[in-house]
Amino acid sequence: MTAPGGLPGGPPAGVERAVLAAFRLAVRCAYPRSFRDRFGREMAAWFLRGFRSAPPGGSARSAYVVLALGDAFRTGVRWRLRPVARGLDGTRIDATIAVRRIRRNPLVTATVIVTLALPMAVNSAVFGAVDAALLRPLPYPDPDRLVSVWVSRGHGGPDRVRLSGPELSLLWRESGSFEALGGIWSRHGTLGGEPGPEHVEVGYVTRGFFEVLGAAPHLGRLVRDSDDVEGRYDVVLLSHRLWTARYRADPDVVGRTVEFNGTPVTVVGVLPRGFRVRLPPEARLAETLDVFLPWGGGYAEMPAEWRFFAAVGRRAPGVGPDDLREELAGLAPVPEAGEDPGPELRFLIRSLHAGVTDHLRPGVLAALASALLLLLVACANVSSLLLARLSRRDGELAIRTALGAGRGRLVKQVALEHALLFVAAGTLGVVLAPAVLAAVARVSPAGPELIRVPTLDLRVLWATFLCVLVAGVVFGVLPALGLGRDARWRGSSAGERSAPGRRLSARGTLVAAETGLCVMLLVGSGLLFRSLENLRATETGFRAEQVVAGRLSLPSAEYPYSRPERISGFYEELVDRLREAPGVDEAGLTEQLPLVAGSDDAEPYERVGRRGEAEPGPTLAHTRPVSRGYFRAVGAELLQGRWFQDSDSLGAGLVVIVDDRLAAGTWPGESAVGKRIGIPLFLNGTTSRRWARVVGVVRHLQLTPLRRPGPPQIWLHHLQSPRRSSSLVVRGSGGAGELAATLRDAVASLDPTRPLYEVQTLRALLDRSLAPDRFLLGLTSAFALLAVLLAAMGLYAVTAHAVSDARREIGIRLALGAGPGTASRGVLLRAAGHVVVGMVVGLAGAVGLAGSLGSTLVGVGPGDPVALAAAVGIMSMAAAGGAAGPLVRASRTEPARALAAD
Amino acid sequence: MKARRDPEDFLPLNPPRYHILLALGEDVKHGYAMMDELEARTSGRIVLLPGTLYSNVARLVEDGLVEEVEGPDYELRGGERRYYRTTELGRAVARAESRRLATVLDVAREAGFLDPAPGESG
Repeated sequence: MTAPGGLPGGPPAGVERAVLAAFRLAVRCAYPRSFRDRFGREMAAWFLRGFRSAPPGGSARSAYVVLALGDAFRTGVRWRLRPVARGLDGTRIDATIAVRRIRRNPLVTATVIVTLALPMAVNSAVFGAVDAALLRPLPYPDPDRLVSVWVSRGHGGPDRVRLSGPELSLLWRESGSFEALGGIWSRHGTLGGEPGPEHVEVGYVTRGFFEVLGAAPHLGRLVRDSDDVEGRYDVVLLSHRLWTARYRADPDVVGRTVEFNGTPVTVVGVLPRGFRVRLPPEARLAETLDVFLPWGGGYAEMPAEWRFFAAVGRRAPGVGPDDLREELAGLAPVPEAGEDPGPELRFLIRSLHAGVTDHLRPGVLAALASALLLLLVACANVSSLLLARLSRRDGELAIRTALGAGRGRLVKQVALEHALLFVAAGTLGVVLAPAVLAAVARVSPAGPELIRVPTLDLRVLWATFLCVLVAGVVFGVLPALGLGRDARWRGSSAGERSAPGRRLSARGTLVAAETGLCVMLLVGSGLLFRSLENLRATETGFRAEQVVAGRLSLPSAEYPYSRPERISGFYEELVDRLREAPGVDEAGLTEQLPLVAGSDDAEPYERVGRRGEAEPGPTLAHTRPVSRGYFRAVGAELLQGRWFQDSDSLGAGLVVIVDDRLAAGTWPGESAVGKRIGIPLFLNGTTSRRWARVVGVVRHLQLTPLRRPGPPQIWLHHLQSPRRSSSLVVRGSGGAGELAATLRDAVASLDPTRPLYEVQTLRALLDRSLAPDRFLLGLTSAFALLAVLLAAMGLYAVTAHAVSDARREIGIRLALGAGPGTASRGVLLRAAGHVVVGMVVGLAGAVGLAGSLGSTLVGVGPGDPVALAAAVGIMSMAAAGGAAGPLVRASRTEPARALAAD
Repeated sequence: MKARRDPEDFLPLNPPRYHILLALGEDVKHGYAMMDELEARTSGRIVLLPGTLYSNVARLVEDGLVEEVEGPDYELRGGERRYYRTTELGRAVARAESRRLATVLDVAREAGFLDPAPGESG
């Protein structure tokens, strides 16, 4: 700093007052009051002296003022911050010491990091999955305002049924609470022309649908209201994926005419990359939709039975969910023919996010809970190890205390050391997390939604950080706090041998905790195992082995519904060819394959009342056509009456086969065969109510996925109600590949332009239905196994430590003539005590926690004795395995050596 | 009992604090007097601004290198002016810092960055 010169001549009094005030203000702002009270006056005086002695009139005085003010600010702030700076300085030194200690003990460091890193990686990965599945908002603008709209039908039918055209039309007309409302229905279709026919999943959308989801086109335009007009069926919108894959991202595709289901249509636009229609599973949309077409109007005139539309709405700004519910309560859905238009029939809304995520919640949360339990076990193990290490360091720590190191400082150093270990493990965990996700995905290629989006972003990193923080504080820092509370630190010699009993009992508590947590995990996976067994044992009504199915759709242009005999003729010929093919035992046709139907696929039916009048059946029923050989092909069991025959043709009297549930519910105590039943019959493109005669009763087929109960069934002969889109089913002695080839050959021999799609075995369908449960079981079992292994290791370490502490006692006992077993009984009893306490607490916790598995479990309650007993058994074996080694060694101790060691 | 601190713990001492210790010397002085002394010794080349001066005086007091005492005009000025004196630890620290700087200067001389000290033959 340059000195103000000593030239005479003071500044004017006004200027002096002003700069002095500025200086005082700076001091006031920068320094704390205590400092100002002590030095403020002298500082001001010293400042004034410097100001006066600076050369007048020039820049020197101004420079002095600026420098002095800046200096006051800088030094004041530094004064205020000096406790922080001092603390940081101390922490830096402590951290250096901690790092040095960590590096000096590579074995302990590696054990801690390896033990913790994998569970942390698992937690990162699972949290990533939870975040992707449950927490993220849906990828649409203003997603909170999106709702799905359903009809609840009562009569034991499902809660959420899709809307019919008249209902959609009613809501468009009468409801003022939606900013936009639209529906979608998905089907298969075939894109023709260059570069060859391709089977695609199609979304038929109504007006307003893309408006609800707030989509903007990548190219061209979306579907407009003016496209959604009856009779017009000529524009198509492509997904970004299809545009890239099939049309090589050619921008000129917009405006081009392509062939869709044999009809020319114009491409009007391409949807943005990543745009995906995400609706609840009840909407029953295909996984990825690649082509969108306008539905084609005529909503108000559609039959009420045609419940095609999965409807989504965007609430108008300012309209809450309750306002919307209130409005919809005043509107009644349109009853189907034969349906009671009572109060049970009503509109339902549900937040779109809840609808999309709710079915994933129990499974995903169970996975998260398992992962957290595993992490807790690992943390308890590490904590136990760190406590053991502290015991060994007692001598060193006592010496350092005696030399004047404060307890606080030692605690801080040890806590820092432990915290650094946790941070290192957490970092490694995050690094490993993608590998864990990839491994899990490889093990389960069926890919339940749980692991569909493996992302590790900032949110996941934050969650992991939080996890490390909590784990580090609870399991790393808290054990350090116990340091120095021991009396012997304040007097006894550093060489004293026995570890503090308190710390050993803390480790015992940790063993108990680990045991308890393991029991909870074991019970969880035991319950899931039992539940899966129950699911596997579900009576499906069919035999899945050696059956292959494939789907076929006939184009409407060549096979119009006005010519039903043409459709049934094609399929009859196909089934006949299949039946004659080598290696095929039976072949058939169905509109609805098992295990994939939605539980809302049901219609009302009527029976004949006591006085001969028509009355509604007690439930709704699936009403679907099949061919004559279908039941035998899938191995269905005929309980009464007969199968369909060739004579049940289009012109003959309408006949149906019903399942045992419908028979029992509709005609309790009577035979269903010969009864008359009123059903919706789809023929010639329209649905009408017709009376049919029941000719047979079959065992209920599981048409819905395994854990979802489906409605009873009414089966029609496809000759009497043909459908263009059907699944062919063949049973044969050959392998699945051969059967599939036979299927393809038969279709090609009849019409080489028709692609056969969704070719799969019934076994694969069954496996897919079990996949989420199997996946969850695999995950929790792996976690449980790892946890049990860790707990056994923990028990081994604690028992070994306890044995080493008690070897004098054991030696004396052995010297006095006690048998090997009796001598180490004390240690054994203590270990057993911890394990038993842990098990009891674990069982209680498991029963409580398993309650939250709720809908994930099938046919097994949280208190299932088999699962509980298995958990206790496995844990007991693991505990015995862990404790056995040290105890056996203890019993082999030679008394003289044990005593001499002292 | 507070442990006795090692003068080496304070090294290197920051320049303002070193100058304050030197300016105080063995006497009892108030802030003004210290700065007069410093200005006089350095021919006005080194002057501490008020913030630097008093925050460092406060640190020296806090660290026990300097202590506050009653000065000769304490009664006269109503206790307004504060006087300071170097403690034994402060003198030890000043000596240790001087030795350290001397070593640095020796090294600088050997390296040819500084003229030989008076009395030394070149």
